[in-house]
Amino acid sequence: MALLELDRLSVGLVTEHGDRELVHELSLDLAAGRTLCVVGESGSGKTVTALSIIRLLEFVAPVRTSGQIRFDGEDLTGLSPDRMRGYRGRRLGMIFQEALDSLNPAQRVRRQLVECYPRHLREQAEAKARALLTEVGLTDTERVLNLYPHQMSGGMQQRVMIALALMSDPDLLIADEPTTALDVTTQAEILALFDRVRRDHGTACVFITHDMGVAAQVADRIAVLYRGKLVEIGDRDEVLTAPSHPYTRALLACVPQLGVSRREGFPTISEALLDKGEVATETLVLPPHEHPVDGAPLVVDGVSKVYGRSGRSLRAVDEVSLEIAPGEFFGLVGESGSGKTTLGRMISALETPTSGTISFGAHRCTPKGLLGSEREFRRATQLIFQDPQSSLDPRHTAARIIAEPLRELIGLRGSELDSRVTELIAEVGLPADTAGKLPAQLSGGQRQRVSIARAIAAEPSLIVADEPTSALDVSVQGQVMNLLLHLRRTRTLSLLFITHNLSLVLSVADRVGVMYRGELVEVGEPEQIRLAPRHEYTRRLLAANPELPRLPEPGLLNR
Amino acid sequence: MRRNRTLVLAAGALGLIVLIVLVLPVFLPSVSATDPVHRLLPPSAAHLLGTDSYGRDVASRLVSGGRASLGLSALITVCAAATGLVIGLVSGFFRAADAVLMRVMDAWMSFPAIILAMALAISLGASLWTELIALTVIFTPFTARVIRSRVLAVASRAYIGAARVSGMGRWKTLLVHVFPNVLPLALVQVVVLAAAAMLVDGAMSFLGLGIAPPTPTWGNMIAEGRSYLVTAPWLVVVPGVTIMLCVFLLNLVGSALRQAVDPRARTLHELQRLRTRTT
Repeated sequence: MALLELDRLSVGLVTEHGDRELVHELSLDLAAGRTLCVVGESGSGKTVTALSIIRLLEFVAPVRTSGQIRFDGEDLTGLSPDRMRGYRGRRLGMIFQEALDSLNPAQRVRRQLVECYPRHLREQAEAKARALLTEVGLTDTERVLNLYPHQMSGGMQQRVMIALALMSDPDLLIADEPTTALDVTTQAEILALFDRVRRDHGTACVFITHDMGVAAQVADRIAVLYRGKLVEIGDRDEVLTAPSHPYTRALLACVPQLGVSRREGFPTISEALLDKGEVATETLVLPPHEHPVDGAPLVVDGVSKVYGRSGRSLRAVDEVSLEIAPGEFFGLVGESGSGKTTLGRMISALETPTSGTISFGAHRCTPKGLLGSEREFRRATQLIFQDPQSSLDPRHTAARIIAEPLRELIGLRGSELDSRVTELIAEVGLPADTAGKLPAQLSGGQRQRVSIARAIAAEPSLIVADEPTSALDVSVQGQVMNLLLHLRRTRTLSLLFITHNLSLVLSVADRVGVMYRGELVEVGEPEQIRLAPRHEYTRRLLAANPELPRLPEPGLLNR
Repeated sequence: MRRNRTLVLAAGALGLIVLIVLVLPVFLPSVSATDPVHRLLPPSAAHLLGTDSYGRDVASRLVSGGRASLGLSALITVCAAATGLVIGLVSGFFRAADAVLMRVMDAWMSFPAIILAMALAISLGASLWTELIALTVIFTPFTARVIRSRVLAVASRAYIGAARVSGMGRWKTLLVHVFPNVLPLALVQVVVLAAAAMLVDGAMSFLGLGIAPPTPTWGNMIAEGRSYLVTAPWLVVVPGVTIMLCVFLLNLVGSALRQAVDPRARTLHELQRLRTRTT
């Protein structure tokens, strides 16, 4: 008998305008000791499903549940709150996405680990805590037990979370995107650890992820959700290599992969095609290069950025030199703390370097600040921010946001301004009625299009794009990347594309730079970096990169 | 829905009180007409809330005292909110100004509020204007701090950086991007401030440091009535309950507004509601 069985589970959110269905008649099952990956994009209902199983959702949102969740034969949906509490922790363990948010910041690791044990069993509990910490790779147990969560790195925190979830030997572990907030190299370690620990303890696992590459590594079975409905469930290899549903195929096709060039455009998921049937991906045709590339290169010469005073200083960027030719698509890849964002902010003159010079045409950015007219510089260099949610003023309409640089940098007013805004909205592929909408009324992809429209409004010749797609779903990522590729064809535009996603940047950039601990350790063409990496760190990045098994039918890519 | 009902009811009741205070004095007996024969009368049909030690009609004095008490509280609120808003905006957004302004505010707040107000009132002489100045001075730092912390949060959002990339100047950014995003909180703050101002204003005129008798205020009515607490309790109870009612209503409006403005408070509120429903 299956350990966990969902039988036509529907979850509806109670709102003032009636129920909104988040999960629709979901049926699946999981045998003891097996791992089921639930894969889907944002809004697919994967997290709702996970939280419904352990019944935590009712604490954060007013929901109505129908159908059954049978765990070991017992229907969890019918249990009283008291009896349900007996299941949580003891039989159902949970690992959350943000380990730092899930650990109590005011308690040491020791207390949090032994917390659920009765007082007279504390000694046993502590022995167990030590054993588990060793098992999750924190061998320095005495020190770790005495740490507070903020004193640990993200990877250590997630290891502690895993140990915490295992303290009571649950039969089922629910992990909600446990590695999404981590760097790829850390992610690879945690996934390997997770897999090992799970097998050693014989724990069944529901693993929620948006990343097909992660699912490929940990799953026995994969379930694909789309808009609250199960579109496909099957063994891992079957789903990955011979997906039966067009949505699954489309999702797989959208994931950037090493060695697959996307310089001629990314496939994207078309909802219209999906409703009709077989093939759900489409690839747009990019226009040929219209503009002859000329103009000045961006030259970064020996630039460093040091935070803090001497003694306790941090070298965020260390003696970086690079050159970006006019019209070039330069990818800068690195993990968190590598200094890539700081470098991007210095190039867009939001920070001044501690030493070194950045020159772009007539503009110079030096430790003394920006030399010359800031207005001229801003016209030439623009920035696209990572999170479109926070880079758009929530109280301004899309039109007002896009008009801002036109007013401030070009001095457009009146009807001229309005018509330019309308043109820009059309150019980034947004419907005309977007103009009057507030950011909250737009989807993530639409918001990022608005911020791209704002960036190109002043017709810059260089755009620094700081992780512009990392907050987006893969299918939307494809659309935004296509827009950037399209703009580069139709305008004279160099791109400095900052990202942590190695597969993505290697598939589109002309040249790629790898940053590690503030230093630019390697620069080269994508193929050279992929096939013949020179630096040890680049090799580690490549090894940790989550990859999909190759699809046997390349025809699916619809090219 | 329930949230909005509270807001509407409490705001409506407050509006009614203001209306009564503005309109009713026209129809009531004179405030200052003394009548020693009918002193300390309990509430009756002729004198709805009784008379005081000089035989003056308490209802008339209550309503007309409301003009002074409510009016002055409102004035104090507006002044303190405006200065606090400006100081909070500037010190939250400009780091150099922040160091100076916030140290001044810290020093300011380290004085016990009512004693500072008394000292100011005594040195400048008790009058409407000194009370206004004294209480504005007291309440400004509180508002400034609340606004500043919000400004700091807004200033760290990426759209402030985006405005800079779009070539917008600092002051304009403050006005166009920061101020509108701080405004909802400022409105909540105004209501909370009004409640506090009412209480401190009552205390000031109770101590004889506000508007001087014979002009009635709720505070000095309590002060005058306290000698007759046993024989004529209505002299203290009537203005006391009125102050309480106003402050209570203001607090209700304040928390309802906060829930409307602050999504976190709203979520908390809804969850509480949900918990009570499920258990």
